[in-house]
Amino acid sequence: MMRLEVMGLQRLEVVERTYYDSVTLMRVAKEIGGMEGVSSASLSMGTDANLRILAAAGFDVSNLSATPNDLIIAVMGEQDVLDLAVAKAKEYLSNPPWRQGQDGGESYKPRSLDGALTVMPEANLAVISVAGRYAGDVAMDCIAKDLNVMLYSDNVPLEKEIEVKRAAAEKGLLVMGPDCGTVVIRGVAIGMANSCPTGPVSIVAAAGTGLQEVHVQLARRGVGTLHGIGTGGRDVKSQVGGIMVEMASRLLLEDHEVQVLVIVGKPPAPEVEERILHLARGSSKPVVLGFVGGKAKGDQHPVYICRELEETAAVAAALAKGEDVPQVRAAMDAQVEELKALAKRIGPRKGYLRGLYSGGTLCYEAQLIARDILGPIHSNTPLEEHLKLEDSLRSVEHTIVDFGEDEFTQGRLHPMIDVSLRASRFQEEVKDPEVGVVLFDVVIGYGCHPDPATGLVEGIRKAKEICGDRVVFVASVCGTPDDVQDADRQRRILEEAGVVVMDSNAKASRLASFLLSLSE
Amino acid sequence: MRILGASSDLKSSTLRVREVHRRALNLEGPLGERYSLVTGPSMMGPRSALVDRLPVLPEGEMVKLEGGWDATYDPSLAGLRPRGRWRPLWLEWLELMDDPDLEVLRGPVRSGELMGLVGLGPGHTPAGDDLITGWLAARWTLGDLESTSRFLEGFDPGLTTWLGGDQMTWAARGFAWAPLKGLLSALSSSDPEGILDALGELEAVGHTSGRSCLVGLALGLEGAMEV
Repeated sequence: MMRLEVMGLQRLEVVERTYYDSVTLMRVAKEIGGMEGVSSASLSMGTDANLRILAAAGFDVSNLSATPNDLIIAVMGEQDVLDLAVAKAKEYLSNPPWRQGQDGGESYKPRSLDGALTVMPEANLAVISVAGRYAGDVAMDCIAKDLNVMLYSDNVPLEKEIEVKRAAAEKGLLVMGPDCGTVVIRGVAIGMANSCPTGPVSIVAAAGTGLQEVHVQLARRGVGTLHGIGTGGRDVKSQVGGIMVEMASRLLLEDHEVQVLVIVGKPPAPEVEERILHLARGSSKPVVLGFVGGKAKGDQHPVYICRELEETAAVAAALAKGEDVPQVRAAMDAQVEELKALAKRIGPRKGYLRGLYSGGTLCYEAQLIARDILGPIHSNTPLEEHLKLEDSLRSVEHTIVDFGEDEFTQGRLHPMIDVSLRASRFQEEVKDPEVGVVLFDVVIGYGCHPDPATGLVEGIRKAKEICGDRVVFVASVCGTPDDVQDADRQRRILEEAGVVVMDSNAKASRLASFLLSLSE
Repeated sequence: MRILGASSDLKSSTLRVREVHRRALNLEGPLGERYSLVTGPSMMGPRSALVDRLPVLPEGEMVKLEGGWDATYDPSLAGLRPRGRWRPLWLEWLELMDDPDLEVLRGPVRSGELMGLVGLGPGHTPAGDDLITGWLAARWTLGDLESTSRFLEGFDPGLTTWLGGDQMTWAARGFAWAPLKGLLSALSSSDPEGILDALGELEAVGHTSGRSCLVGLALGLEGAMEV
């Protein structure tokens, strides 16, 4: 059943109880958005967050009635093209243009686990990407069939995660996730991961973009990674008890090809941290613990403790290359002074910092660094609960937003795949005369947007028309030149648009903060 | 027009142009039987010739097919027997009936009466005919000639399209078009890659034809439904 609401130069159509995957919705929106006379098009599920996003994009949703199970087709443009655009959207949904013209030859994709195992009996890993409420049961089916699991899905109930991980651990199987977007097995990337060399380091990560950043930073130092095992962020919490972090670490420490183990994530629950430390201390190989913002300090071979992602990679790379770790740390300390000098050269700015992130761990790290320099940072994923934004679409004072959080991704693509929300948010942020610096990440690699810098720069150019040079844009690119998007090219595109691009998220966050703190 | 190859059963004949399509021309023999000129190997079936391009001919025109071609496609299903190890794979084809455009098949399949599907659904070869074709081909390869004979005895060509009836009749006699034969051949082998490729080919046939045929194959291989 459909309802129509016509409001001047926009058309909003609610298609009740209709679900399409977010990739399809984005592609159809892109097709419709490219029609002559259409200025804006969006297809999304009718969640409260999406309605607010539509409102922020200029759609009048005040009389719109939709539930999270309804699809909203929203088109803005010239009056005479609106009907056609909505009709095209529906046509494309039922018969996607990117599938037209395919004439056989496409290999069949099994639709069931049993079917897949029939044609691939040697498989030992299943990647699960279904709605979170079903994902746990699918994972249990996979474990029953002796498959390791990469659980890409989020919103898996905590009790289910515990059940799945316990069942897997009993059989010696890994469960990577839930909410795990990045895995590297023998150098082969699964999900959102980067094209990096294989080598002596392996990583266990309770943090998706944390794994990517360490993976990339190792590659930049000429050190390869053999395995990158994501565990999902909740694994290191008390309730789950670090089941998979511990199991993956043990497996990798027993692997004779692994010379240095890195364990990265937000600080674990104390009892989990203690077990990890105990395991690391008993290791015959160096173990670098990169607990971002953690309280533990000090290196005592074989355990090296770091608080930031780039630092974690730098220490691990030094260990892999047989370099002196204290010297590497001293060099990193010196870089902080260089960043202050760079901030002075650029010209300190007055006002507030606004961070727009696609990577959750990168956002978390940016908040930690900015807090230490600037003071309290507001966020939709704050370091302290009282700093939580009332509305993720409205920044206050110093704010760093994670666009990968649920309110932005329910029925929409992740910001690493669809950069449009952040691109338009740049303009909103610089309209605030008290904003001096905008900080953001650009995460590339397999599964990410094919050219995020170009998409983001469109928004930055429009923002600069509003703010001129009042606001400095600072970014880092998490990726390598071998990624399909080419990190060097992404950097050039950003720099040509006047963005100051740093080699790491930590450096970008520090520079952005110094730009504001040095003016005080 | 040049004939690049032909099915092994193609004989010289004088034929009338009956249907002109973008990639195929269907011709009618003196007894009402179908012949086809096709432009791709994957379209080959019984009494077919593969041509480099279709001649421009109006419907009703008489043409003469004269021999001298190489037999490049054998439509016979003889010697094929799908292996039980692939059963989990064919069981999932039954879920294709959940596709909204195959919804029409659900009721008759639930009733278990094959004949209730004849001519069911839109299209040149109705989805019901495609399902029956898959079913008959499966039963024939499993040696259930009793069922296929019963179908031929009870089948009323007046209930469906010329092409749909032709396709089912051939299947009941153990002959099939290339995508269906390709899949049955792959299912009779131990080559999973070959199966996935053959499945992709058949699934892509028509709008619903390939998928309907897969449902029929699964039902036939499972021994579900009766004539």
